[in-house]
Formats: sequence, structure tokens, C-alpha cells
Amino acid sequence: MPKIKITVVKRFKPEDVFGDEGYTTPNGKKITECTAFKDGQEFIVEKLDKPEGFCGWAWRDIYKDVAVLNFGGNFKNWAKDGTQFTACTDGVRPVCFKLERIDE
Amino acid sequence: MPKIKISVLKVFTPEDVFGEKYIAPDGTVAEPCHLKEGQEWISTDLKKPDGFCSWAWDDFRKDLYLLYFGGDIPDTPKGVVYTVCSDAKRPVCFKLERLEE
Amino acid sequence: MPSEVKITVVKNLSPEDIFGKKFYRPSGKELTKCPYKKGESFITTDGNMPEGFCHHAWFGMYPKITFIRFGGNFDDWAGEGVDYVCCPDGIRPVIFKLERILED
Repeated sequence: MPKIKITVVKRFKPEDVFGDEGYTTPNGKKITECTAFKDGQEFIVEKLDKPEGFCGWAWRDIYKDVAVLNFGGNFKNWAKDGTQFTACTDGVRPVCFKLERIDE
Repeated sequence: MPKIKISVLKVFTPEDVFGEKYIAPDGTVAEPCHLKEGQEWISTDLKKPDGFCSWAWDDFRKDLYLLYFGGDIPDTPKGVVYTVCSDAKRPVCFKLERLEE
Repeated sequence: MPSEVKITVVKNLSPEDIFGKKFYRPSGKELTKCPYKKGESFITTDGNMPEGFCHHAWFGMYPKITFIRFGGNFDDWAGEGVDYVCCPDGIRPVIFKLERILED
């Protein structure tokens, strides 16, 4: 089975989504960009297992794309063969990822 | 891009799961899913066929996605995924097939 | 009965926002912003995808749609019956606001 490399391409701030006022929760907490990841951070997926420390919510969001690459599929006419770009579904501070199949 | 054929393989009843009728807290008796074994749909451009169940669709969309983009899972024929909806009181098994152009 | 959910476009990000430059498909064709407009809104019917809505975005938001329809609240995050969700497109994500529609 191939391995899949996940790279954090970009983390957006609430200000990028909502404008200068950013985002504050109903109980008054000011939200920043995602703190679960760092820009440029890399993870390796083996046997379709979630890498240690990887965010569970984001994993659920990107899993379907990881599976396509894992089982030999390609996102034809969208991204280069063996790669895909996908985003976590957090609408306050989205994170964009690049996925790459590492063929053995 | 390929079309995907969805067929109903097996409709389990609440009795199959629990060994007896399933009675909801409000007293209603759970019926089996309305889908019929052998029923078929074709999905084009990864779109949900009109009227198809949203819940089941969400459960196996990842499998459709895999077939659509050319992935094949081990231990089943090429271009086929067997999957099931997550309504555990009355699960329905589906066969998904990639129709090659 | 479960409620319906109103979906409103909050923000439409471009490939330049993510990569700092234009993004081209393997065929050489440029990928531009998603055609959704800020403020555009849609309403579910029996919890189903609004007609003509993007299937890919719908898949990404369906778990939260279900959660909100059945009365779930992210109290400390977005308040009662509200959440924000990002579509899983990692090249040009769109951020949506979800709101439970209360019956009179």
C-alpha cells in the first residue's frame, strides 16, 4: 500500500472570512487561526490510519480524498495524478491541505 | 467521467436485527426501509439521483467518490464496492459499480 | 419534526488566497473562484439538498446540517442553532453560515 503525505498549505484567520471584526464566540472568546496545525507541517499516512496527533475533525473531512489516493485513484483534470487539494470544514478558520501519494 | 450504478442488494428488517419487532419510544413499530431489493439508479457526475435517500447517500458517498476517481479496493472485483447504509435498525446493503465509458 | 436549515454564503476564497498565485489544472486551464456570491442563501427541504446546490459542498456540510436540524447547538462556538462550515474544496473554498429555521 502506498503512503500518503499530508501538507498544511494554508491556515485562514477568522478575519479572512468575516472581515476586520474577526470572530468572537457567544461567550466572548476571540478565535484565532487553527492552533491544531502549523503552516507547512507534514504528516505521513500509513495503512489509512490517522497520523498521531492529527485533528479528528479534519481527518474525517479529508479521509475520503486520502482513500481515493490510497486505492490508486486520481483526480483527473483537477490536480496532478497522485495529488489532491482539500480543506477542513471549519467555517470560522478553514485549513487547506495538499495530499500526495508516495508510491513505493 | 464514469457513471456509477447503485443497486439494492439486501434490505434487512428490524426483526432481522433484533430478533423481534422494534418499537420506538413513542410506541410506533419500525418498518423496514421502503427501498426494494434489485432497485437501481445511475449517478452521473457524482450527483445524487432524484429522490434518493439523503442519509444513505451520505453514508456511501465516499465509496462513490473512490470509484468515480478510478480507485479500486482490494478483495472485491475491480470497479465495485459493496456498502451499507448506517440505519442500524434496518440496514440496506448496496452494490456500487463503475460503468466504464 | 426536525427543522429546516438556511445556508448563506459568507465568503468565497480564491486560489490566490491559498497559494499566493494562480492555480492551473493539469490541462493548463486556470481554476478561478467558485461562482457563489456572498449573501446568496438556500433552504433545505425535509433536510435534503436545495435544488441546484453544489453536491461537493453539500457532502462537506451534511453532518452539521443533520446536527442542527435535530436540535444540536454549538453553544460556546456559534450560538443556538448556528454554525459555520467550509466546503472541502482545498483550491477555492467557500464558507457558509448554517442557521436552524424555527417554526412559528
